[in-house]
Amino acid sequence: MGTYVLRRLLHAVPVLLGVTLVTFLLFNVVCGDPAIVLVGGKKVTAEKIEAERRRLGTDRPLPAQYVSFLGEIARFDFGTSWKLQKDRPVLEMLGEGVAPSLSLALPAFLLSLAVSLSLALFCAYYRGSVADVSTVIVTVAMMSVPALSYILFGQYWLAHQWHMFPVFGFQPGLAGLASLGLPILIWVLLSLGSEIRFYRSVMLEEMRKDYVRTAAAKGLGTGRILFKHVLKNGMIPVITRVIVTIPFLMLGSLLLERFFGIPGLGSITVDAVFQSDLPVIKAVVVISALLLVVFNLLTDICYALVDPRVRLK
Amino acid sequence: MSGAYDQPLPTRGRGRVLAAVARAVSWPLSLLFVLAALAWRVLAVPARLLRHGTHPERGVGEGLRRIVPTLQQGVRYLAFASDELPRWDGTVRAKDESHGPWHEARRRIARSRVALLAWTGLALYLMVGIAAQAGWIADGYDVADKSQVYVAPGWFDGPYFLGSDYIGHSVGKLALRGTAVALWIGLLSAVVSCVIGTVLGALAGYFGRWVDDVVTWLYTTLESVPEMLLVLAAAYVVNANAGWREAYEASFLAQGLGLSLGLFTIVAVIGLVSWTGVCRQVRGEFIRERDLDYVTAARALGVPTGRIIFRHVLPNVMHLVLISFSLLFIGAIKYEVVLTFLGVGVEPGEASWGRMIEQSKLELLSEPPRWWQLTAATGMLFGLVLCVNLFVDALRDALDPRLKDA
Repeated sequence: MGTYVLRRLLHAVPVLLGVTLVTFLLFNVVCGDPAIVLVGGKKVTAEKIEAERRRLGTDRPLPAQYVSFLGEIARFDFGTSWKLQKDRPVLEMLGEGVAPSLSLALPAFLLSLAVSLSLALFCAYYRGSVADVSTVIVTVAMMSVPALSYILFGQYWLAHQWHMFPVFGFQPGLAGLASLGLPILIWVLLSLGSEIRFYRSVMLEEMRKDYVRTAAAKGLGTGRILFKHVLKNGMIPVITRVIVTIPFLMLGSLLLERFFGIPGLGSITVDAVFQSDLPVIKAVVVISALLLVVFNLLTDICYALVDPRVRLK
Repeated sequence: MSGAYDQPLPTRGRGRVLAAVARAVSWPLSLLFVLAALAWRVLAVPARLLRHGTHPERGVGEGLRRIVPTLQQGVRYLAFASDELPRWDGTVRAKDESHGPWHEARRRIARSRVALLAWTGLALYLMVGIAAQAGWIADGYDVADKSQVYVAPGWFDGPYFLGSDYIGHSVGKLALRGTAVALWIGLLSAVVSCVIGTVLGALAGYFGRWVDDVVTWLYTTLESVPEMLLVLAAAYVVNANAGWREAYEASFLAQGLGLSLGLFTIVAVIGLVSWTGVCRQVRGEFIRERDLDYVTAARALGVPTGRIIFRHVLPNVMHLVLISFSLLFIGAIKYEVVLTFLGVGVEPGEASWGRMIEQSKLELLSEPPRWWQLTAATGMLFGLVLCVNLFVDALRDALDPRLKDA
């Protein structure tokens, strides 16, 4: 087991290096010189840009810049924000964004997981029937509406006309639950289609296996086979999917947060992009990649713990 | 060969009427397909002249003779006298030849009502898109009449059958014209990512060793940066770098092809970011196929490696590519809305559903609410995405060999 974990850890190293390289190239080379972005304006003299360049260290050769960039990441030192909240440490800013993001993403994710799993079981139980086909079609139809239209129509009809939810705004704690209602609802509507499709195919795949036939031959009822045997065996892909989704939950939803005024990581990122706040963008890219790599590693380790065959590959 | 592959398309029973409707509606598309197949045959004639001259068996005469069966089969299909199209390269199935797995897939699709309905809708969208691109409908979508601002929809009001927007564009014409733009975006970005993903995946899977290591590293790295952030970063690149924009305006893409920077950005960003899924699938399938007997046999016969990869193995994994293509197609169309909202989408002068939705952000909340622009764009986008989604589901069921016995 120890060697397996070690091997997986070693596999993660080139990926992390790759991510940092992509980030570095994107923001220091493709975007042009950060010094010009920072100083900006039309009446800037060449000397001023040169001084800024020296201060940022972008006058050095690219490999040297990359090495110092790696050093910053290793020390977890992402510097201070340029534009959004001038001179505040980036990590502090991002830390504040995590809680609002999670307070939207976590309930929404859990709700859609519960609804889609139960609907998927329902579909698998009545597979091929009108109920099954129409459930799939309706959820696929809900998935096919663009997110922006949901937001605009929802804000108008549900919030503005029928006063079911506040139109906009965010409060921390339980008081904010009402204002989170509409974004959570939209999130669930958008995600149901693909989730149900996935879980339904997992369940159907599982139902074609030999142990199901054995159970049926023993005389077990369909309900018992489905909930006691198929559900348990189908949990492996379900759990994998859940673990892999967790990093995305922390990043929050860009459009929903922005339209409903939730000060989460998603809206911070959008603002940073609009205002060219480089340190913030860099930190978000690097940290989210780190999270993804770590969670992928965790998934692999969990797999190896559950299924010893994986370790031998 | 015998068995399932040889069964004809169903002409009776479930979905017979729907199948007839679907075929009648997509008649213009079939015509285009037949013309394309014929074009291959016609183009082959000068090629034969150059290569074989007037050789009695391989020269021009043979080229001309080969046009005949393609023409016959095409006309028979278009006249509803046969249910078999010539193939895309102009060849026609011989009497004793097996129908093959694609025909089997078509048979399954022709039995599913949902799939037939979805195909009918998709065919309508394609025809609207082609007509709008050719200028037959939605002509004058970019004419703004400042005296006709925010006209409410009225069905027989000339150009304003779906109302007008804040500077007097006809919303109906914008929505129709937007179909062409959406189809361009979807097709181009899906082609870019499928080509990159398929070629890299095929090479990695077939050669293994260091090629595989490099490709795997590439796509794991790209997948480790959340897609949305890569897209945002690209948005930043375009927004922040004015020199980049100037360079593009002077390039062949803008000058020669008339592709606007916004469209190009969308296609490039989506195409370059979303090839990883296709690559992963194709690679896995190639690893499975490369040790099968037919590949070993081809290698032993001395078939060149490139030919083995692209002519022998690739057709066997094409169904996966086709499914990914359709999913990438709708993914790109949905992304366009988000990108336009973020300010990197299509330019203000162009008609696109994303731009319409973005512009109608505040129109609902005005008094009286101006709902038509948002509704038109949402409806058009919803219809297209739904049709493709449902059709992909049917396609996946039809192409999945594991479901054959179910």
